Amino acid sequence: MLVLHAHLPYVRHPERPAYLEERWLFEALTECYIPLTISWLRLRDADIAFRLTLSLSPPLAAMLTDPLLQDRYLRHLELLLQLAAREEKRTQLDPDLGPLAIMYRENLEQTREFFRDRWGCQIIAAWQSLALSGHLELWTSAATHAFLPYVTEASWVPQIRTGFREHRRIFGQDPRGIWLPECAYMPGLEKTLAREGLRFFVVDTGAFDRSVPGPANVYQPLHLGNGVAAFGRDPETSQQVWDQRAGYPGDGDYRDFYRDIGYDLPYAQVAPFLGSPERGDTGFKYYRITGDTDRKEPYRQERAKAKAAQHAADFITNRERQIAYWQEKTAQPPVVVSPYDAELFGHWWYEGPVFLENVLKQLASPASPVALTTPSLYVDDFGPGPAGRIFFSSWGAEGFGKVWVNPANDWIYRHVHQAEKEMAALATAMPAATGETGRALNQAARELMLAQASDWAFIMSTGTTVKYATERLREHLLVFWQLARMVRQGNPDPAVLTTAEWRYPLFPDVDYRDFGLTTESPAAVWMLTWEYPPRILGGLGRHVADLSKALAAGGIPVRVFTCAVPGSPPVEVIDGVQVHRFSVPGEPETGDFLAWIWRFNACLAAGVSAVSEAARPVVIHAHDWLVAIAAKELHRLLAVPVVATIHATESGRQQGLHNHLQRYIHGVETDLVTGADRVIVCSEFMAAEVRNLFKPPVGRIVTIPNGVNPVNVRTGQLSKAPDEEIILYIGRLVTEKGPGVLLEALPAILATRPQAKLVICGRGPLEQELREKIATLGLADRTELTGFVTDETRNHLLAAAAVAVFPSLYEPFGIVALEAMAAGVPVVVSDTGGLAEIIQNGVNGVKVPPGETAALAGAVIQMLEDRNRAQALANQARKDVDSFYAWEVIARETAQVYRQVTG
Amino acid sequence: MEQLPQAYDQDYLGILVLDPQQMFIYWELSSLTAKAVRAREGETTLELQVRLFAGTGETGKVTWHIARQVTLPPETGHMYLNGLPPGAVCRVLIGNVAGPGCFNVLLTSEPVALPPVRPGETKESGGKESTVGAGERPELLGRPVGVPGSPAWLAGWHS
Repeated sequence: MLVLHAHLPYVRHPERPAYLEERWLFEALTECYIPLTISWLRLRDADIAFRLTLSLSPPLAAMLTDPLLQDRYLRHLELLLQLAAREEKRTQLDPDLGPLAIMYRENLEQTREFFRDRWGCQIIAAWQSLALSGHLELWTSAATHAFLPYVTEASWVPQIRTGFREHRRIFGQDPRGIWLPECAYMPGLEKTLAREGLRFFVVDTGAFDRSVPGPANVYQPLHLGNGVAAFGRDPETSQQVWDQRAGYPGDGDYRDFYRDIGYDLPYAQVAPFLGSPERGDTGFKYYRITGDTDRKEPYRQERAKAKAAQHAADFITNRERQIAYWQEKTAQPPVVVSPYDAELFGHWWYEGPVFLENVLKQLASPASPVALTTPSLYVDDFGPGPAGRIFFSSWGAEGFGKVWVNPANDWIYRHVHQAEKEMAALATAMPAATGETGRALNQAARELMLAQASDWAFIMSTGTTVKYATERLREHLLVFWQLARMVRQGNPDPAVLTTAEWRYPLFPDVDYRDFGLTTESPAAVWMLTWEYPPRILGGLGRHVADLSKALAAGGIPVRVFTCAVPGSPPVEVIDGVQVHRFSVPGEPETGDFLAWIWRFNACLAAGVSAVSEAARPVVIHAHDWLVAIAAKELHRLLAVPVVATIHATESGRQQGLHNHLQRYIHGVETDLVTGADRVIVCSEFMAAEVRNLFKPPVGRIVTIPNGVNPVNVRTGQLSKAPDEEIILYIGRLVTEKGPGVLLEALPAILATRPQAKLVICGRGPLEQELREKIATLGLADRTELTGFVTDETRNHLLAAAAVAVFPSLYEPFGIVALEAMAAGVPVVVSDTGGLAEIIQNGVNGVKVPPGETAALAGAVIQMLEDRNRAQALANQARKDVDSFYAWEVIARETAQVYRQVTG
Repeated sequence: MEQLPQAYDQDYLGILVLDPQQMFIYWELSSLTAKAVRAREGETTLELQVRLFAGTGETGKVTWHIARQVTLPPETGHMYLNGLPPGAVCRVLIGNVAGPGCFNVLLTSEPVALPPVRPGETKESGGKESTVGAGERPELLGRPVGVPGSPAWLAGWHS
């Protein structure tokens, strides 16, 4: 099984009349692709039924079909023919060099006739013809030949899919096989290949040596699952062609690559044909390798051809022996896989096409005991081989990645990966962009893929045209970021766009949305919650709202499923989050609360299940026990991981479990915590509580603090009586939040600060009790119960407050305290739960023992008396909020948890 | 000539596996995070450490043990970690040392798998880390290339 991989970096410079690096294509065409194709057509015309696999990289295909480059190649050929005429004249009396000059002139004429006259500059059409006649099996490769293990997985789909699409566009047929650039494989790639309809690829020998369940036989394919088979490179045939000591191309009769007239002749004679002011290759080489000496002998064409035929015969003899040996040891016919860079044949090894033609002719003979095959033919006849797994490998140095990551090139990866991240975010945030925005996104995708080409890192490693490679990488990334900024700002500049498209017009069918599809990373997150705006009963609803928006802003699609709210539509998009609301019979606040929860969960499970017929999540995120029943059912139905956030526990809220309802809720919480793949809590206090109460498996709990959006709370305007000192409480009116403690501390505060006034905001079952206490203590004119307040009112109160107090007896986190800190209000809190972790006493606030009214009163009085100190504490608190509790940070940490459970 | 940014002012940590025993890691701490950590610790400079954990066991029953712990030189943004356990699943954490026994994690990586080796393939490298590479030019091409009369011939593109 001969596999030739044809690839060149995408080089095209319309901005100049000629560009030196475009000669890489012209040289490969002249010395490799055209001679090989002429040979194959000759064999077909002679009814030789050879078979060969040719992998054509998309950048090379794009260049070969580009009219600009086709035209420039023709002009290059004309220049070479002028040089050939001069050489023929110069060497006409030289018996050694004269015949060679004629040979080169004749070859160039034949090349021009083949390329321009016979195939209309479309060598691709010749390969297509050979594929249709069954002589060539055509493969594709990654779009820009990216070293796939070193790009983020989000780039695998666009690289592979774009390559596939290009192949289909150019050849009119789908490829079945793909050449992984540099034979670089990473576990998981086979799933992506399978999804894209690709079935075979080649890996280096070492991958098979290290496979499980034990070293795989390189003489048969290895089935990696999903119908995808890997073929392992045969080390013997590689050594015979590639080995620097024993390999064929080093034979003394073969043409010496380095003895070119571009270096040998006086500069003035060759300058018009060089393509740059520097000396370089012209293709006119008159000497043979000879041996390990600088005294090279003249090249003898017929001797070299004879040697190539001799080497072909030797190659075949060795294959016959090899296959005869392995035939005894394998259940099905052994296959010897011989992959090579196509450019070896003709460019680096001038006689390579002659060698190959001899090999193909002899192996295609009916008398040959060894048959030529292709991966498709082999697998169709004999199957994909035994099952196994392989690991990261490549055909680079030592079989892994050192060529592409080393001190010469390691600097590129942070830049490429940042661009990949941005492209994925853009693609996910704008799934239906059209017009100039769509164009800009597609061009950004092209620029990114061009930056991802493995060629740049390779060239930096080899130290050859490093400046060119560096400039290309830099240029593509800079243009990418320019386009990305334009898209984000909503004003794509047509001039910038047109210039970029003109410079790099490859992949006309590129689709930027391919970057928004990921294989292993979390795509859609579906959140279950019993409250979501406009239905806000406590911190949970606000938390889910802010988290979901921050995730969506970071490029992670989020759907929220909750209960219906009168006046709100059943489905809507709020700040990038799709919200689904399901009607639930009855009201939770009246009647049987537990029965309502059951009905709510039933409606939630049914509703989410219905939505899942058209879309799928990769993770369900359940918030508190209130949605646990639905989460469990959906985990069973959809088979996706569940992440649960425990905002508070029943035992903590009630300071123990005292009745049947509380014990039931505790049981539901236990089920949720022990069944979830990960449990998120907002503080170390909560982590310890959850651990003690529910005993989840080790490593299941993750602590991520609640976040706050400072912008939301800094809009208030001061509005109060001049001397009044507002003591503000915001929170549910329940025992565990401690409003009763604060009320009891008020008389002591008023004794020292008679101008103080307590404002209590919130609703809850304790309201009536608090009113009665106010009356009993005679505090009616220094206390105000506002009930529920809107965010706007809350912000005004925060702006007016001298101090905010959170005297909780039980507090998993204390998001309202965080909001007060964000608003720049000095805070006094109970030294309990999450509050104790947020506040550093005397640094960004004051902590007092929970439930101790005297200590609470003393702390509040100090805050009101020492305004400088209070302001200093508030300033530090504000800085801490900005640093540690921004929703962008929280969302990123949460996304990390999703990746852990899905990866 | 416009240059690529020196930094992106984001918190991130990237890992590229080089071979069964070596990985390349690169990272950045955003100015916000760095400032916040300095403010919290009351320090003007940060002592950052990288800790590599190798996991053993099956999925869901992984046991993590620390395989490497290195104090990072100031102002570095990348490192090569050598002498790693072939075949292990690894996670990298970068954090600041806030005091004895206090390691605040600032960046964490996803788990990455090191490929296994063939028997006898392990190289003794002394487990040295470097920010500038091994100091010797790596063998660039695994596939042997014929040498037409010259001592060194790269199958790359001529300059």
